[in-house]
Amino acid sequence: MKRALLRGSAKRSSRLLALLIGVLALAAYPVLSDNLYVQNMLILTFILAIGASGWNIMGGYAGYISLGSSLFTGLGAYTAGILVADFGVPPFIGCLVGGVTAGVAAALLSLVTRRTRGMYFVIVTFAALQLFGLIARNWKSVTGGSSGLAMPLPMWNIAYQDWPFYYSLLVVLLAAIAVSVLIRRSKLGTGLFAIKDDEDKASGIGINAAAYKMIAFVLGSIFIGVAGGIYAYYISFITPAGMFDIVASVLMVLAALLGGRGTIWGPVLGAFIIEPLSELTTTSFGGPNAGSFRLLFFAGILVLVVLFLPKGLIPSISEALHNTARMGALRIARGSSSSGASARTQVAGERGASAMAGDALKVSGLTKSFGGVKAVNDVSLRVGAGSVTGLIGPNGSGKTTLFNLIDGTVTPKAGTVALAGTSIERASRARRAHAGLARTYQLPRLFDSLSVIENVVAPERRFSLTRLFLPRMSGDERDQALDVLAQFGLAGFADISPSDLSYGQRKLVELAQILSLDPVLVMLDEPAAGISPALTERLTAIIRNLNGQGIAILLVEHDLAFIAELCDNVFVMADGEVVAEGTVAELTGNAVVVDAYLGEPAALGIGKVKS
Amino acid sequence: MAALIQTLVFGLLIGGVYALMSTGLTLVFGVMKIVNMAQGAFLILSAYLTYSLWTYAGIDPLIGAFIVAPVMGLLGVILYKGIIERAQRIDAGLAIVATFALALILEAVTALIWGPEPATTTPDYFNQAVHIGSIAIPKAQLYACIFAVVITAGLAFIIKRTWLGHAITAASENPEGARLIGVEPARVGTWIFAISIATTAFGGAALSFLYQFVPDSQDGWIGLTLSVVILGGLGSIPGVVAGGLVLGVAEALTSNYVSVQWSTAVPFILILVVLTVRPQGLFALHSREDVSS
Amino acid sequence: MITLAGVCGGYGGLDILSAFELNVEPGTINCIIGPNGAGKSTVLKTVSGILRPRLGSIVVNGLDLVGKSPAEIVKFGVVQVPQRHGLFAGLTVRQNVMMGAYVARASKKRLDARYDELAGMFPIIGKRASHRAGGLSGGQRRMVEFARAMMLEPQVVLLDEPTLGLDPLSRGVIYESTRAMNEAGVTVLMVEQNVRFGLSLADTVTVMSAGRVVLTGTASEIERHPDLMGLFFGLAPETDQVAE
Repeated sequence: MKRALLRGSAKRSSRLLALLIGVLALAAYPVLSDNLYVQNMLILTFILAIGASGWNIMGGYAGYISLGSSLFTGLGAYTAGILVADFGVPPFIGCLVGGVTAGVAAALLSLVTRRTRGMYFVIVTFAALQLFGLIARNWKSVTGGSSGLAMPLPMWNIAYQDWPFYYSLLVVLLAAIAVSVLIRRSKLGTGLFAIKDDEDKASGIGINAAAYKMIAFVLGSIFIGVAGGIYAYYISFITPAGMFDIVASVLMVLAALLGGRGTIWGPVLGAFIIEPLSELTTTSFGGPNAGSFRLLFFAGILVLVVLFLPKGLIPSISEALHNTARMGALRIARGSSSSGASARTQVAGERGASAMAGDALKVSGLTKSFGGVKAVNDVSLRVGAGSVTGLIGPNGSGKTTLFNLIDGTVTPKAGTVALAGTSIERASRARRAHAGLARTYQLPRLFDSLSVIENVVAPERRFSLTRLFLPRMSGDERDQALDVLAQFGLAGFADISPSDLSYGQRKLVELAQILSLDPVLVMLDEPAAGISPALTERLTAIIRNLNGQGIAILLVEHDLAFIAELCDNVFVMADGEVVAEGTVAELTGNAVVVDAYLGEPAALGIGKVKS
Repeated sequence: MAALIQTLVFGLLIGGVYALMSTGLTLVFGVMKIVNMAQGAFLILSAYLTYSLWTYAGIDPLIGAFIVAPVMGLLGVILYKGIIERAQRIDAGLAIVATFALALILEAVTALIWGPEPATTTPDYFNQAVHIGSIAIPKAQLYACIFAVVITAGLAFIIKRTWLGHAITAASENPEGARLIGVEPARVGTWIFAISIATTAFGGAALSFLYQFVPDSQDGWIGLTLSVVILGGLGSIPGVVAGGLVLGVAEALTSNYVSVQWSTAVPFILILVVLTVRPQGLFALHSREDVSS
Repeated sequence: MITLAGVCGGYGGLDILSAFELNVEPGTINCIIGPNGAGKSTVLKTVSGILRPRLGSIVVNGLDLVGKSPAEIVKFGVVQVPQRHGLFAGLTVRQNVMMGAYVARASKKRLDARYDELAGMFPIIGKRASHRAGGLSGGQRRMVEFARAMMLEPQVVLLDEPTLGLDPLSRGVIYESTRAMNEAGVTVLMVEQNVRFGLSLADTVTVMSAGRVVLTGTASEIERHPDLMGLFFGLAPETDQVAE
């Protein structure tokens, strides 16, 4: 363990050293060499690297692909251009304001995409790029239309060549990388990766997906905007076609995909490959068809990357290198898993401990139909504070739909839901989680891009801006999560991906995860289905322990022995309705319940009647 | 008043053509959940092929369309099997990137073959008009719209009345249920791509005498077709007709009462507004599961 | 007629069936019962080719179905009626039923004749032929699904919880219709949650739990079996776990 840590820190310091050397070399280059061709190429590479890194925060971390990110290049360029040309603002100040414009535009586009997901984001960014291109072309009095806008020529001594452009872009690039690193290491980053893996589940553990996405999109766009401003100043002439250029957008996507989206260095590496290639094609493809050949070349590479290198260079290479090492680590983790299962840890926070009187959950008249069939019909039930309440019923009786109605995945046609006395039926999913509602799924849903312990820390008890920029996991949080994992017998798995766990282990991790919400009520959807008797026993102990801390539990389960051992009160559902309520002992003798499971004898009598 | 009626007539006629141009896009999305960003490039390529038949063989665009359509359908199948289907298996999010890369490839290829000069076909009806009272109906728009109605009706016939059409409906509504009766959604997907791109080719033929075009007009046309299907609700075929008509009228009104320049911005503004306000489209009765969160 | 031997399989690396065995005699109705998650529907999916088993053989009438596509299996005369959402809401009742012949696409005349024949057995498809399937009630949908499955005169029909979500009256209709299909010479393999319903209909019953067979016998033997009730409430004799 210790040796692994040492090796890790040695690796980190050698990486830092390489980074330092790289930055110093780039910083020294213009001073040592006056090759303007290379200097120009590096300037363009920086611009592409900034674009790709900015794209990557939304496209790589959150998984929302934009095809219109040069929109922000254009907005930055025109903002700077107009401020400098019409208002005499100093150019580099204009560039910074350009970044702000880009950020504002990104925020507005986030509002446009607030109600949609996935490919709609592609469409919106594409449409916005086209629209702004048209505005730049048509609003001649301000933008100069198609004939463009001239920026004043640089005022500095010719001896400095393009240094101010070069160094300012290098600084913006380093800033973009630094922000990418910080986001990755912050709560914001955890949330974005969670959104990429499973946005629905992320909302269910209190992550305000809309806010996360907006912040990610704005942050990434600001850098593209600033770089756009500097680019405008550098080429000193702004046209709609050159600035709001869809091909420039595609190159950002290509650079990020080629290097590895979602990684920090992937977009930078991609830019350092693509931009020199682009220069090469400009010089080698001559004649009137040069533009078409370049387009063919880059679009062709993009297709090849999508088909044959979808993860990108950095992840593919590191996967190949670490495959063997990872297997070893896994074995070690498996070996140490059985110990420490008995530790009893306090997991509930202030909320759970103060077991309030009354009902943890009160559902009245909840109704929902799908295509004319009433899946849940006028269901009312209550889960007493600090109780373990069971919910049983045959397949298709509406139990999972009821869970979905309570947690807000599905909107009811009628009825109310109150959590600890507060009405929540109108609240968003994240709000319900903040209020202390937590659930697990029949097939556990975990975020495979995050480690097991990060999964456990991911839930958010309330939304606050400052919290987003806290480190991914504080020492305290790690200790607490480790305690919970240890209590569940999973301490040895903390730092691997949940995708390497067995089905039963994933179920336990999901339970550990939702406990981080400090829940008032935990809804468990068939926690014992498909897991071993040993694990079931552990689960029983865990549920008892949670209950002992004042957390109310609503348990859907088919295993009546399991229910009998845990539940004070049990509701029985059949055909979308609650048909009985009582203790297990009362219910097993109840004819209605037996009929719910085995079918009413009456059905057979009618069966003899000809239709 | 007459001017307004004239504008509306013009908008409705062109709207019918927009519907034809966008049908393929909505069909592919409805069944395969792919937004085909190469729709505009397929339109422009078809327009160029029609243009070549017109210039070199003197074939009328409306007739030439029937030669171009099967060729484009075949090309659609090849690109679907070779690139899009694979990309979708690897990562559905990247499939849309792949279709856009395809659009750029097609744009480059058309530019290499036909050059950057604006092209258009000029059959003798392209600048004639029929007069009804004080209203002038340009023959080109009229013929194009009739053509659009005929092709769309043909497509509706295939979908409503043939085994293939029923298999398409089955696979799009209920893939697992379809498999249980022996309809393979993957095989149906290939057919859909063929039909969609062939339909798009008819739209391209109409485009060839209604507009001037250059290879990079394609991104404008993606925007336009996207806005038609988003207005009508992604995946809905009746929605496409409604969306086409709304867009046609909105554009005609804008170019008449605001300015011609700004009329090209209408599709993009509509996309942003509709997705903000009513992402399931203006004509859908229910919100789609994949839209609302 | 239908013989499953040593079938193992499931989803995403998790085996739901472990060495599942089943033997169905021709012309009989066999019902699989068992608690939720036992793998009942999974058995049907392996037979109809929707799920390819990892191990084992599935022989129907001398032909091994493992590795065959769902379309080939339908053509061979083994048709599954899915648990829910089996119809295509945008098509009419008639079109839905006709889709049962998709793999054969025989002459219109023959199909029309077959349709009229089936309308005798399932009156709803005669009365509502031109209605949209989306507008039917649950019980009516089932009838249309049954008729569709019968289009190509199959040897075997697989029914996945046919009474799920139905009212008692519709269950009665399902009962009669299943009998009628069986009397027309079809071997029926069904999965049923409603145990009493299944037992009343079946000739032989297979009780499964956690992916394997725990009891087999005639319907009356199973009905009297002392362990039956316990099994459904999770009080079964200990069986092997599925995972971990």
